[in-house]
Amino acid sequence: MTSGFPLNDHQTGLYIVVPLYFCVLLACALWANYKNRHTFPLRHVSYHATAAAAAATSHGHHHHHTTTSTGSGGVAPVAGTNNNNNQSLRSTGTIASNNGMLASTDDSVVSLSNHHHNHNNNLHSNNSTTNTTSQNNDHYLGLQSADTLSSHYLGARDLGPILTTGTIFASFFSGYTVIGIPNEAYHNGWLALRWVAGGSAIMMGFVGTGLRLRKAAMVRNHKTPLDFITDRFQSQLLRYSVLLLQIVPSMFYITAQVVALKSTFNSVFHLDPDVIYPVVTIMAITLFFEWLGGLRSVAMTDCVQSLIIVVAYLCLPPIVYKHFGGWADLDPLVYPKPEFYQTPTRTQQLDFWQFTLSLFSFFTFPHLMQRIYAAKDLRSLKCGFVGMACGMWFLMFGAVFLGTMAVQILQQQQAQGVVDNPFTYLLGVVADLGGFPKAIGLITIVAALAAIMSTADSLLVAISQLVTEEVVYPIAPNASPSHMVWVGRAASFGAVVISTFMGYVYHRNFCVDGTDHSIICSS
Amino acid sequence: MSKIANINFQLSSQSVIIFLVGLFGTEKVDVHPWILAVSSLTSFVYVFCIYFGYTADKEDDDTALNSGISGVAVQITLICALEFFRRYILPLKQHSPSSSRGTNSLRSSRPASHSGADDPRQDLLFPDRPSWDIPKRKRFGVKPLTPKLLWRMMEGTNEPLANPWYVALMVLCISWCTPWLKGGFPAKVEDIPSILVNGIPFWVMNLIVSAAIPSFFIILQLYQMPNKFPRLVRRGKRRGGGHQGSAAPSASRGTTTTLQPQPQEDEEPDPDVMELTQEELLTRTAYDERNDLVYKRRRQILEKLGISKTEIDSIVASTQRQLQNFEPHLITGGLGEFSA
Repeated sequence: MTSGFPLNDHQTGLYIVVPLYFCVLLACALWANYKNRHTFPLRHVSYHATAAAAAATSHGHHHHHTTTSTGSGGVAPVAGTNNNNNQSLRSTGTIASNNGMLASTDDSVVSLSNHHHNHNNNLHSNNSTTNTTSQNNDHYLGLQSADTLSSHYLGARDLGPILTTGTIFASFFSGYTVIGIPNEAYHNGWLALRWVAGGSAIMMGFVGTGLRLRKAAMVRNHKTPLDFITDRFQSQLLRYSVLLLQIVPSMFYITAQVVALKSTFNSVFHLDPDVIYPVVTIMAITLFFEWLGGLRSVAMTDCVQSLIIVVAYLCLPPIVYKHFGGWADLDPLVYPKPEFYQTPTRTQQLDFWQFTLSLFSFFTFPHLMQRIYAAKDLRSLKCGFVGMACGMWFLMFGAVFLGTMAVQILQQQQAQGVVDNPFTYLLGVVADLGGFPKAIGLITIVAALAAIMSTADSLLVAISQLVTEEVVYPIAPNASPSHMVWVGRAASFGAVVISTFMGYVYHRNFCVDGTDHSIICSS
Repeated sequence: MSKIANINFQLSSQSVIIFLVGLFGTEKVDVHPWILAVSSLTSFVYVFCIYFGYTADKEDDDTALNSGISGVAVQITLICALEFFRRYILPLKQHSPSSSRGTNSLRSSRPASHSGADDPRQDLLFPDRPSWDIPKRKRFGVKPLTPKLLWRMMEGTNEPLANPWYVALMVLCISWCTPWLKGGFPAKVEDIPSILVNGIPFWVMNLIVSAAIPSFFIILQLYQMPNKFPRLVRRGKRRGGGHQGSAAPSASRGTTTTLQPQPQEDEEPDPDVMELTQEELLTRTAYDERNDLVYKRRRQILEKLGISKTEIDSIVASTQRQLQNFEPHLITGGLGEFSA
């Protein structure tokens, strides 16, 4: 497979734009890390409670005491009569060794309790019961451990409308949307509109199941799709069956992203198609972002990536239209692939129909379900769905337009038989126009990388969550959530290694050698 | 699409039925988890075999066999057959004089309310299964997540998939997008200009318009989607507890669940279906520890509704007994440990 990418005159621009893109992502990941550490008071409460417990033990306290806020920052010790405290203490590793009473007069605990109480008031100002309960429960905060695992994997369930929309958009629209659909349209013509037709099936799946999954999660504290299955069917056999059904397709999906990443990056920078180090580096960077801030980091980088994809696809079709005309300007008598105008065969029709219906299953992907749980509220989720619904049309429709127009635009190159990746060729032609089109051409290259990376990191964090919460945690049920976060990081690392290896093997054996006769191996 | 990218859609399709049954099943229309597991695993293997063993080698398969869709068909067939066997054939065999009296793990689908009070597995939707198949569920709450409870959670929320007519309409609309026409028309290039509408063939124009119709329904659905779930409240028995609104009465303790847009003085959130606060959602001590914040709030609500402490304690004690039977090493506290 030859790269044949006609961007020789634009390599300098690429070497500026692509590193700049990675720097922005790094900034997002660092910001996510900062947010995770400074906007999640429960974690600090837990920390101080642990410290206080240690202090209490060293001072020989032997009575249960908990702290409660007095509203003025003072401390009012309340006799804890609940054996439940013992249960909590036993579960939280460090405190467990105390096996006794907790007397905390640490001011920081009180202030954090107040902070948390205020936060709760803001969230539920119209719910008097909740407020009263919160007051009554403040004394629990020093004992109940914070769910750092949810903080890592669900962004503390605090993703607002912008983050939710951005992360759903970027996770859903993968490299196939940006690169693959134009290439599919280049080879199959308007039949690639199957993605637009199937978009309604995708949305029906998400809107239809998302509401109920969300509500069940909010009532029953589900953290993963498998929590719902476990709670609803109460069967280990089914639970692990669904785990298999979620992890295996996700691994294939992330492997496909690795293959696409390798093909695209090597093609763009004129590298040998078999070179592996760029994709390894990019996957390592993706892993690093996930380690830094978990889902919040992924969501923030997704937002940037969504923005790039939207800008690219809002500008590129109009540029092509302006400089090369639209569908109405095509002359079918000289169009290089007149068969596109013919009605599809019976086989194509059946294939089209089955494909559109099968897209309904998109909602079962764990990385997309994860966003349903991570959204701050229903409004945020609604915004995410609206973003998806809009993207179906302007991204996918735009992609089909670009692909069908590329047949006409790349007529000369096609005659020479060098067009192995029509979309990148089209970008080269657009960049050759100079000025604004050149900038958009370069941005679209970055958009392709962004689309692939955003889907890959979302899949990564979803696989990691499933392995950690559903496989490892049940084996070590008394481990603290913060310890499990490190297990999750190890799981992410494992997923990256396996998918990169699978992608390399697949690309080497099927794409480079041309065994995969599919439309485009790079997607 | 590359083969490796394509197969993930086919494989992920095999979990659709499980989620749909789980989300929208009712007490009558429910499927045994083992049947779901066996059928999904079978279809999973089927997809692999068909995808790599048959369709992967065929560039132009005349049958247009989609391994994902056909896998779902295999799955549904298996579910129907096995459920029929479980519901109708198995009971006959078990009641015949020649049959053994041993426990059959698939035979019962009794809901919790139909079981005996002392049955340690009475909160299981499908009892008579070995203990290794029962997962830990303390973290989810005291009550099991029954189909009835799920439907109660969603009262007052407009859901597209809950309406079979809407689903049928959408399936029809999406199917209509497919250009069901005689293939290969026009046969001659010279005839192409006669079928063009604004530069594109008429069937493409039809496709675009047809695709816009289900999209319009989706947009309408999104427009109608609420920004927050409706309040589900319960009235205590000491305040009368008259049944109001469209919601069904609560199953226990003389309280009723109603839908109320605004908070009323004599109402409390329904403790079984109330949404947890962020504070409660983000509290965790171990894998399957009970969430004490939630537990305490639910208890307080029940007390405000006029349920006596004794009554609540009896419910808790019953649940504790059940849990002890399954997870004796995790149960350490006494029954009165959460007394307010």
